[in-house]
Amino acid sequence: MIHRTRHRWQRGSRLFCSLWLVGVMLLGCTERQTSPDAPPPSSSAESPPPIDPALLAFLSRARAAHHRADAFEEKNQLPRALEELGRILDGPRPHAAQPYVEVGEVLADTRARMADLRSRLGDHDAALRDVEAGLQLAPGQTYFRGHLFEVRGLVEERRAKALSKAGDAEAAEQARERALAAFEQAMRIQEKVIRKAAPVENAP
Amino acid sequence: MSRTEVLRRAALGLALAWCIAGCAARRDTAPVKASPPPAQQQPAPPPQPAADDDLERGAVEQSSPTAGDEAADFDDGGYAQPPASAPVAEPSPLPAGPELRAAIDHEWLELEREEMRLSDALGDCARACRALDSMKRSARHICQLEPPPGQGRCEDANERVQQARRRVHRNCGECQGRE
Repeated sequence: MIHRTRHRWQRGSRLFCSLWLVGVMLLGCTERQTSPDAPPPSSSAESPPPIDPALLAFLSRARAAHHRADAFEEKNQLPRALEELGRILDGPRPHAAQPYVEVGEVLADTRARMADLRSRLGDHDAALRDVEAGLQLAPGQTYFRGHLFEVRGLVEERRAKALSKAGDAEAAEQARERALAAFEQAMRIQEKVIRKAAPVENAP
Repeated sequence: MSRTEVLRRAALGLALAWCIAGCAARRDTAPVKASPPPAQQQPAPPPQPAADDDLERGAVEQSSPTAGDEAADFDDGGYAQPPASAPVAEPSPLPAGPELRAAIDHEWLELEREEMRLSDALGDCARACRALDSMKRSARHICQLEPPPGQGRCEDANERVQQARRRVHRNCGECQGRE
């Protein structure tokens, strides 16, 4: 019984495949005749949208620069790491007049990392300038904007420690409060990112 | 093989042959003004450099050694001939020097392209997991920064992290390598 059923299923599936093949051929003929100017199949709606090679080249270059910065950071050569990251900012950008979102995100993320490195080198003001520049590049409620606020918090926290060490308690307290505010802002943004990316509510 | 099976296969073969012949006949008899010029009938060339094109063509030929035979069969069936100016498919030699570099660059870009597509497919959950990580780090710093008497901001931050974690878990499962 099972054997016969399987045989029927195989026969049915073969028939289905044959019909599908013939149908596709007929449709192909019809389409070719009725729309001779139709684009080639490679540009059909089912194929994935083309991705700009210039954008890919930019992303690839940025990733390589981050890898090189990783290597310098591991050796605690932070200025060299900063140099590598700076090349991403100074280098060519695809379609600078109408930049891709991805390019802005990469640049914002690079600014965040540079701010962290500068702050570790003790240059907190320059670090905050990097954060501000990054925020200009990531105006929407994205992970990257949230991460920039997180880095701002880190910078202010390090500044607070440095000020406290130097005996300036009042300035240290102000920096600490700014750090708390920045971390809380980062949390608010990331909450929105999560709500958007994971729309289903928590389990009841 | 049973007689019915033979008949069914013969019928299928006839149907396919009819389709192929009909298709070719329609194409041949299509009004001239409706047909695009020969240059448009050919598939649009890919945007890669010539060296990459040769590389891809070589790969296709290697993957289908009977392509020439199949083309001959189609010719017999009445398919339109390619224009005389169409490039003759010949095995391309392995690229060297600048061509090799261009080929490697092309392959690298293809890899990047695939990775981007994969990343898009993972998209939302990858973003949610990264955002959750950021929240956890921020909450940890808030708890370190808040002076001992008032734990309100720390508790609030931890509660929000727990809520976000439950939400991400419900939608995406565990964040691999991040928890």
